[in-house]
Amino acid sequence: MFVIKNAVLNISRSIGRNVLIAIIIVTIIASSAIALSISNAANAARVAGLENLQITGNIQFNRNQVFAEQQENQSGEPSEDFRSGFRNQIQDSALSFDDYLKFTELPGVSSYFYTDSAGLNSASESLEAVSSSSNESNETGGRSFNVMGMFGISDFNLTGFSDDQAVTKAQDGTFTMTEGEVFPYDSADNNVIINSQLAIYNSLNVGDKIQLANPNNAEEIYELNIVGIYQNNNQSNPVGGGGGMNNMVQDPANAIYTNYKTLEAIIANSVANKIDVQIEVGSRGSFGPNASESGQEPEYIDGTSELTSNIQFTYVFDSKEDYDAFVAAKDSVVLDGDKDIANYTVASTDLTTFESSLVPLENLSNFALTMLYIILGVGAVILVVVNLINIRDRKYEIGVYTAMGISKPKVVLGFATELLIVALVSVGIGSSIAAVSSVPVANAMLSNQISSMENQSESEQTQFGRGMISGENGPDQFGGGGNNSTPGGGPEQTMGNNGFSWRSANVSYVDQLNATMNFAILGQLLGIAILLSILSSVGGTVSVVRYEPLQILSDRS
Amino acid sequence: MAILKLENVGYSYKPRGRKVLVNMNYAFEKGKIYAITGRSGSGKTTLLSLLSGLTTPTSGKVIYNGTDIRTVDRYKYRSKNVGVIFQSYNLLPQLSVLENIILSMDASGKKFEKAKKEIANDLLSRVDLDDELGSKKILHLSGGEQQRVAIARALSFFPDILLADEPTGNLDSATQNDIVEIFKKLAHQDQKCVIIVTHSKEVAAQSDEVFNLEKQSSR
Repeated sequence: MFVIKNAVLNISRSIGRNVLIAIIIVTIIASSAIALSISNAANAARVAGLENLQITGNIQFNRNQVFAEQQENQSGEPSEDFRSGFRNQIQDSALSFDDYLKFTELPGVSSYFYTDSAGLNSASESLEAVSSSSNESNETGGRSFNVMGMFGISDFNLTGFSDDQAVTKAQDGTFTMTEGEVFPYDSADNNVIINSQLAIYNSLNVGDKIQLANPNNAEEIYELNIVGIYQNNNQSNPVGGGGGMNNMVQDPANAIYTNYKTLEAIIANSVANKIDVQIEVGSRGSFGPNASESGQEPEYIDGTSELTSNIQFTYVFDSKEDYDAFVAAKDSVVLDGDKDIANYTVASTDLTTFESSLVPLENLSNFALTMLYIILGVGAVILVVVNLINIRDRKYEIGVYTAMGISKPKVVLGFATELLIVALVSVGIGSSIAAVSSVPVANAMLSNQISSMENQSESEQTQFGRGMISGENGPDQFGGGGNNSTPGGGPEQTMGNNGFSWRSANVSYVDQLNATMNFAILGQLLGIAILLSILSSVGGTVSVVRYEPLQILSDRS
Repeated sequence: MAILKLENVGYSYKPRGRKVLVNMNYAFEKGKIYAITGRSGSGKTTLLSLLSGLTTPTSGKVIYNGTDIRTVDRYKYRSKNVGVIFQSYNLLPQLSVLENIILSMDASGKKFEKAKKEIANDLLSRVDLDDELGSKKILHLSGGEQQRVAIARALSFFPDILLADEPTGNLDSATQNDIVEIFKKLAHQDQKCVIIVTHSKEVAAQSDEVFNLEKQSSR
C-alpha cells in the first residue's frame, strides 16, 4: 500500500517529467494499437473469408515442371528429341474421366462436378455464329483437324454440364434464363440452351432446332433442340478483339450449353464414325500463314476427324483444411497408363483469387507488424534512456529511502509502480486515440496500398501494350485467349493452364478493413505497457540501488 | 540493561585497509544521552553508521536488544527501531515538511493511534516549529529549521534509539541549546537512548555520558 501511495504522490509531485513519459508511451501505444488492429483485422478477414469460401480445385498438368525436367535431360541447344519429348508429354497428359473420378475418393472432397466441351460448326445457313467481323465467315471442313499441335477452329463451343453446380461455374460466367429453362442432366436428349445474342442474331426461339457439324467432317451433323435462352450476367467482351483470327468460338454468345450426357453421346458418335482427313499446314487452325497466303506449295498432314473434347473436372471442398488434405493426398492416386501423378498439380482458382484479393491487406498487415516491431524497439530504447536519466536524477532520493529503511526491492517496486501507473493511464489515452483513428488510418493505408498495386499493374499493362484490355476473361499476353474447342488439339488448354498463369485477370481486392480495437488488442497493449514499464524502470532503478545508501548519500555530500 | 552494545567492533573501508575503528566496546542504555566525541577522522560518523545499521563492522558485533544486527533485516531495523538525524539532514527537497515526516512513518510500516498528519504536527510543535511550516518545501527552510524537521522525522515512528550526527554543527548557540533540550526531554522523559556525535564541548557537557573515541582506541 505504501508503495502505491508513494508512487501516486511522486507522480503528482513531478507532473512535467511524467507527462513527458506519458507522451512517449501514448505514442508507442497508439501506434502499436493501430498496427495490432490492422494485423488482427487482416487475420480476421482472412479467416472469415476462408470460412465463407467454397473452395474448388482442379487437377492440372504441370507443364513448367515437365519442361524443366526435359531441359535437364538434354545438353546444349534444344534438339528435335527435346522438342518431340516435350510435345509427347503434353499430348499424353490428358486425364481420362476415370482418372478424374479416382481423385474424388481422396480425403477432403465434399462433392465434384464436371463439364466437357467441344468445338462445332453450323451445319445450316440458317445458323450463323455471332461475329464482330464480316470476314470471319464460316468455312466448314478442313479447318479443324485432329492432329496434335494444331488448334482446330470452330464457331460454336458446345459445353456439357454434369449438374447445376457445374452450370453455376460455367466458363463464361453466370447467366440468367430469359426464356425456357435449363435442361435436365439424366439423359442424352440433345436439349440445349443458347445465348440470347445468338438467338436474336439468328431469330431463334425456344422449341426451334439447330444443326451443328463436326468441323473436321461436314457430313457429321447433330440436331439439337433449343429448350431455353439465357443471358450472360457479365456483358463485357471477353475476346481479344478479333485481330484477323477467328475467335468466334471464344465469344460467349456462341456458347451452347447442354448436359454432359448429350455431349458424351455426340463425342462417342464422332469417334465411332471418324474418317481419315488431311489438313493444310498453316491453314486456319494451324500456326503461321497458310501456303496460299505465303505463295508456297501447300503441305498436308494426315489425321482423323473425330471430335475431341476437353473435360474440366472440379472438386469441391468445404474448407481450406479439406483442400490441403486433398493436395497432400493427391500423389497417392495411380493414373491409367504410364502417366506420372508427380507431373500433375492441384490448383484452385477460388483460393488463388481469394489470396490475390488479400495481397494488399497482407502487405499492409506485414507493414503494420514491421512498424510495430520498430516502434516497440525504438520506444523501449527511448523509454529506458529517459527513465535511466530520470532515475539517476533521483539517486539521492533512492539513497534517502534506503537510509530510512525502505528495502531495495520496495524502492525498485515503487519506481516500477510509478511508471506502471503512468503507462496504464497512457494505455487508456493511447487506446482511445487508436479506437478513434484505427479504422480511418487503416483504410487510408489500405487504399494507398491498393492504389500502389493498381498503378504498378497499370504500368505493366502499358508496358506490354495491353493498357486498354480489361475484364475477367481478358486475353493472355499473345491475345490468343483460350480455345476450348480443340478437335485434335489435345489437352493443352486444359492441362496447360499453368503456362498461362500470367493472364491478366482483374482481382477484386479487399478494400475495407474493420480495424477496430477489441479486448484482445487492449490486453496486448497492456502487456506491452507493463513490459516496457518493468524493463525501463527496473533497469534504471537497479543500476542505482546496487549502491549502499551511505555511498549514495556521502557522494552527494 | 543496554539496548545497544558494541562488542570488539572494528571497521575499515577496504578489506585490508587502515582500520578506522579498532576493538570498540561500549554499552548504550535507554533514558540517557551519549555524546560520541573525538577529533576529525577518528571514526565518529563511521561509528554512527555502524550503530544505525547503514553498514556492518568488519570485525566484532553491534548488538541491539541482545541480537547482532548483522543477523537481522537492517532495513527493518532502520525503519522501526532507530531514528537517524544526518549531519546534512537528508530530507527530500521536493517534499513538504509534513510529507517528509509522514514518509518516514509510512516507511516504518507501523500502525499509529492518531492520524499521521496529527502526529507530524505534534512533532513539529515538539521541535518548536510552527504548524504553518508543515506545508513548506524543505528548501524554503533555514538550516536550523531543517535540523528540527530532521529531528521530527527521526522521532516520527517512535524509535527506541535516536542517533544524531553533529545535530548542532550549523546552528547558533541559542538554537543549539534548544536542540539539546529536545534531546534531553527525549532521553529523560521518553526514555529514549539518544546518541549524539558531536565536536561541541557544550553538547558533550550536557550529555549523560561521553564516549571519546580517541581514549577508547588508545586503551
